[in-house]
Amino acid sequence: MDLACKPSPFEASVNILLRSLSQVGFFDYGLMVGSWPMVVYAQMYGLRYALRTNDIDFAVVEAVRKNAGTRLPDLLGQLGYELLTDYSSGVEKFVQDTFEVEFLVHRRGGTVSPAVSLPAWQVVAQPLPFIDILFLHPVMVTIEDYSLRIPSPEALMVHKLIIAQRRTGRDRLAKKEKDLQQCSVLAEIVSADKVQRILHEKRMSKVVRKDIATSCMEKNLEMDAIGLYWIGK
Amino acid sequence: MRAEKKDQSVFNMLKSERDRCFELAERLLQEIDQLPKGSLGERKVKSNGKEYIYPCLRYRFGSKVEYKHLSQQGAEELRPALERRKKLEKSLKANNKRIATIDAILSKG
Repeated sequence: MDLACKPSPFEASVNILLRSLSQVGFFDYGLMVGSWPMVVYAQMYGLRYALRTNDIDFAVVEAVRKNAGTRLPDLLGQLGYELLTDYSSGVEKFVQDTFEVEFLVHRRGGTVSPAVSLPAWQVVAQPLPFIDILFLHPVMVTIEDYSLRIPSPEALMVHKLIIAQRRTGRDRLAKKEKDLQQCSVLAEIVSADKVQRILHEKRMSKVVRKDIATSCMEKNLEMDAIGLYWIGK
Repeated sequence: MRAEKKDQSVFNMLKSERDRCFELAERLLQEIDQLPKGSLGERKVKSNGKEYIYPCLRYRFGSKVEYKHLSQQGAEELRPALERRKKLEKSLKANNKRIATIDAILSKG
């Protein structure tokens, strides 16, 4: 699915960042994730959601030929971002004032490595579970003179419904509330057929289905109405 | 009731953002502590009727400003670390300001 978003919903510095990443072909392999796709959907569909944090996460596919990418530390350095490495995990983030840029990859079951090096982009990403869901039927959005890829509203909602129940850390309750709030808003625009397509393509354990059901219950979301049901599995 | 619930989500979002800024500020502080402080300058020294100019590192030590003589090569090697420290200090200041702003909003309830 392709969308055009006019005018840009982002502030100037975010536009510069996204345009630069787009120009080096980053979005052929990556997605903008986290709260930021909500900014696009809020503007396009008139959703009542204006909240976002000053950290911007990008999900990247791990298997990219080394010569297909660009040295992102150099690119981000030119934009004024400073590299910060978490010495305990090895994960790298890029900081400019209060703004943080971080890269995520899908963590497969049983993997324990706290960081994944991405030679094509010369960055060290944080592996997280369920990132693969975000890559199912992503949306290409054209903004001004560049394009970026973001998860579809359906993939974003399914992902948030799962991770809301799995948040850890001291601000887990606040993050859970934020995840569920986004799900409530996205539920207004998702297509039940597209949600079904995601459930067919992504095998989910009973525990994961239970997480989805719990999130829906906590937000009074009617699961059948938004395509959240499993047939014959 | 609905409005109250929505306010709570904004409140949580602000708390989450405050925590993020706080963690980032701590991380920045750690990084800054590992970098040399001060700025590069030049000192002029007159000796035997001649004037010599050499690079130096100016930094504050308590209430005094100290000068450390550097070789030209030493000064060039130090420059990237000093520039990085300046950028990180600017980020730290921005984060501390944001934390104070969010705290002020949160304290009003």
